[in-house]
Amino acid sequence: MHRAWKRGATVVSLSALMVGCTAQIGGPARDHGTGGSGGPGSGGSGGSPGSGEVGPAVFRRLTKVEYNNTVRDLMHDSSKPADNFPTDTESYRSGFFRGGAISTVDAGRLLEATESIAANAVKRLGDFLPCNPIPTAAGDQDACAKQFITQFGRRAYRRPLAADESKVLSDFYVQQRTQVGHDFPNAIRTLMEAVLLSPQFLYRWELAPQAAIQEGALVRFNSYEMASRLSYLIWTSMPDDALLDAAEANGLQTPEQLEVQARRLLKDPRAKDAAADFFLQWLEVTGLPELTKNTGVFTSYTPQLANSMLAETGAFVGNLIQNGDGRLDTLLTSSKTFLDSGLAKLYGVSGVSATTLQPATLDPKIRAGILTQASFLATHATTDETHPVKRGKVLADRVLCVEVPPPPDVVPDPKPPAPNLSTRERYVEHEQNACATACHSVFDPLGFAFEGYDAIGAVRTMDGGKAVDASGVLKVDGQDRSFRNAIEMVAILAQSEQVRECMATQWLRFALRRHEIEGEKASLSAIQTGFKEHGADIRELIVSLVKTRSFAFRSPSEGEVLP
Amino acid sequence: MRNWELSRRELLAALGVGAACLPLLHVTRTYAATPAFPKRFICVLLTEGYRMQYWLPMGGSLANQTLPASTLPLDGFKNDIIIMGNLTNPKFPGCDRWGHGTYGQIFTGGAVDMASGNGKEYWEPTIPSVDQVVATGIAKTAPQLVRTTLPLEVKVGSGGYLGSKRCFWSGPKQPVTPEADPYKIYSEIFAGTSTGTTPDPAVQRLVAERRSLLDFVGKDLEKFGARLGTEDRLSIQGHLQSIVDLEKQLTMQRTPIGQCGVVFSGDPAKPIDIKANANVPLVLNLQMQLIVAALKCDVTRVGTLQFGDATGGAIVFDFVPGVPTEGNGYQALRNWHDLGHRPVRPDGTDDKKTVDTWCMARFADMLTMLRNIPEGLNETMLDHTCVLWANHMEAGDTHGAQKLPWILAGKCGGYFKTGQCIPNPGKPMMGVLAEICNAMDVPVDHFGDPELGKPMPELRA
Repeated sequence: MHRAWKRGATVVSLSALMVGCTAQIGGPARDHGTGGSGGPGSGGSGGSPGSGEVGPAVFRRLTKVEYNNTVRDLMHDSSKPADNFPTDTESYRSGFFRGGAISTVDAGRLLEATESIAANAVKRLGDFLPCNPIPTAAGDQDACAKQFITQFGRRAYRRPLAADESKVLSDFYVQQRTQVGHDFPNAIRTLMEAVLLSPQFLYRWELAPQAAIQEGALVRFNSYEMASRLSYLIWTSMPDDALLDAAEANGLQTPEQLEVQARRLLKDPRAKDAAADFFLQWLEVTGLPELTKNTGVFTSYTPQLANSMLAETGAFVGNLIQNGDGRLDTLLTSSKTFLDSGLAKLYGVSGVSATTLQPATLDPKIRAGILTQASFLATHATTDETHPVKRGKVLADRVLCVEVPPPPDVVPDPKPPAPNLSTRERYVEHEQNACATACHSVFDPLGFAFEGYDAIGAVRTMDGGKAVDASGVLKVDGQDRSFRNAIEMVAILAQSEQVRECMATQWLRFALRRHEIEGEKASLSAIQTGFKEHGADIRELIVSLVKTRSFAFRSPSEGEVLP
Repeated sequence: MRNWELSRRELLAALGVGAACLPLLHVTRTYAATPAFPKRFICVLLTEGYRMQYWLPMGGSLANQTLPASTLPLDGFKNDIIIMGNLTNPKFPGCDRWGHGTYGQIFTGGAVDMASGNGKEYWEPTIPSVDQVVATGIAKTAPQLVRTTLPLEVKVGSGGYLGSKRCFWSGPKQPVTPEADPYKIYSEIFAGTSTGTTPDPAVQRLVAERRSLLDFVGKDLEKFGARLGTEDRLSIQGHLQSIVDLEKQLTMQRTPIGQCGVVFSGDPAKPIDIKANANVPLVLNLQMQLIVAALKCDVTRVGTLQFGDATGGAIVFDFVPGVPTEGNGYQALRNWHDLGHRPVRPDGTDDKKTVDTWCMARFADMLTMLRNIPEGLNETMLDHTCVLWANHMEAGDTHGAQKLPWILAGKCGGYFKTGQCIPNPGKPMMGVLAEICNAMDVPVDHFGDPELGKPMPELRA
């Protein structure tokens, strides 16, 4: 059951363009269920299961970003311990990450990170204990430890501890005192380690050992689960006390309740974190610091510059969501951004000497929105050349939601670099090859639009001794739209209904960490409608999303034993 | 120093031989008599295949033929190796030209999870890889081993599909993460070991603390996993097994490296930048030394090494004399991927052949390490070891997913008929994996597939 969501499901549009490509990734999900829509309005209802199917919840470990943010909020520790964890893995071809499996080497790194976090925390023991001053009498210490387990456990497990869970942790504390021989602070430190190493903390599965809320064939997420779903979607971090309190009052069930909390969370500075997390994954740029660039050609390129590129994009989208108008067209066309001295030099902006990001306004004829930022341009390039196919493929997949099939069986290499041969000329020949035509006629025109930016995102006007040709025709909204360069192309994208619908699709996949299934079309439609009706404001998209059935329900996993 | 300021690594160092062999939560401790010289298995994976015309010898005995240029560094080991060309990989569901995509399933040969990878390649396997099968079998009779396997790597890039970065799997959804830093592994396995000292009470307390901690986590995982769906439960089972392994590593007795008759040339006091391309030869050598040392000291009996990943894009071979830094038209730099696609430069220089030869010389280095350790009368560690030096592709320019070039080395206690080349066995590589299991006294009648994975008797003495 429910296998289609793993393979990639809905082809939203332009599938006709794929004729000729072989071995599509998935194709429409049709191998189970009736795929009913749930009827008008049902997509926007978190209160009723309706008639449509909902896919299962993806069981997943916290991603590196989520782990770091959660440790920051739970332990007041900003050391980003997960940076040394293994790379996250793509979650069921959704285009978004989940934490991977834990092998022995990983378990060792996790243990070392946990020890470090707890060691730092115990130096500030008073900040974590419910008793003040720190007790000295044994009886008082034991009572304090019990309170600590209840309070700390609730925050770390993101739900109240069951009685047996509290007892196990209490027994663990006693064991540390009596058998291991620890004093009170070290017993608390070890208790913290136990909680941080628990699967209840590490995995996104906040189902306490209590009865699942079954409605028909579906399971409704309880209020504590909804608290985490909200906080990890909007903050990429744990719920705060207000969310947990709302959950305790079972106040996270109706669409109205969820909307109130979502709007509150969106106003919190932590919403910037989720915006950065989403958009960096969406553009597939998180791996930029690992890429090699030819420093013989790009003498200014350093690892620090690569990190600045990601930071710029993170700050740009964070500002958009938190302080800006939140609109899609602003995302795609704004010339306001954040630069440090290295980026300013790359962008040809004078007067920026700070090593930290500062607000800046770029020439709108040269830079317009997130797709003309260096993070996107440098990631989707080779070590010293642009790569129109890579750039175009990301646009097709992530911005236009054109289902991108894997390459055909035989892919000819583009023509090797040569004097007096531009990158476009090399790839045009590649595009005309019959076996590559079907896909590259889609990708390459999109990618050629960015030929005015080199392999690290700097502006260029010449390539192979010729003036750069960044013109092309964009197939969008069922029409052919001509453009002369990237600036004109992103302006077209910014007004496109197809792009708006695709953005909604991408956010739903981010929230679910899987593709939507046929039965979830109503949920997707509700998000797309909410987005459109509110001027393509991404914050309204998120509010619409948290009110859908796909966000409130799940189908049981195969073999799951529901408590 | 307060207890919590001791890192795990410091603890491991401080433990030395003083650590008690503490009872473990999840391990049944039924010791069996250890043979004088146990059999060991080393599994190494390289990428981008070879220039076969310079690599594959003629069929039959190796004794009376001169090895081709690329395999010539193995000349001194002709009596210890079996060279195989053209092994097939019939359960790989991709096209013949998608050799990169075989990386994840190359040591299982069984069915793949079609929902994984990118739909065309890099699928993940559904069964354990050969190293895990062998290690699991060994653990039944040798539970005293500190580690079931020692998984190491050199320059496996990050990101991308798991099936392009991991080739060893303990089960479905359970990739084995390798360690890249030789000194980190050295410190965990060997550093600080000494004899005759009384354990520090603080260290003893830490051991007890960690035992209780891992015991707690283990029980919590067991309870947690019971409520999950079938596939998710597998993830938790893998996590749980990792905790069991970690507990074992933290508490089991270790032998000082010097008492094993092994010399380690590295200097842990001088950390290495393992990401620096120029350090690849050094790191590769140290990782090979560590595997040999860990096997000799009976820390484990299975060592694995990933040299590069599915494309080798992170390794630029300009440290090999004569190979330039700049790429040959496929990539900007002369990395393994560029070498594969464009092996010969316009002036006719065959860099790939040069790199193939260099890789065979490194293989000879490892065999030399094994042969330099005497074990018994007129025998060496190589005689009791099975080394699989594998490649998951035929050649980079063909991208061949079939016609695999593999080498077995070591007689493995007299099991293998070494000194021969089987250039065209016309059989699936799973047969080799089955024979490795049987050679390691982990009997199987097939590997990966009941019909396609039958053993290859021609490999036996």
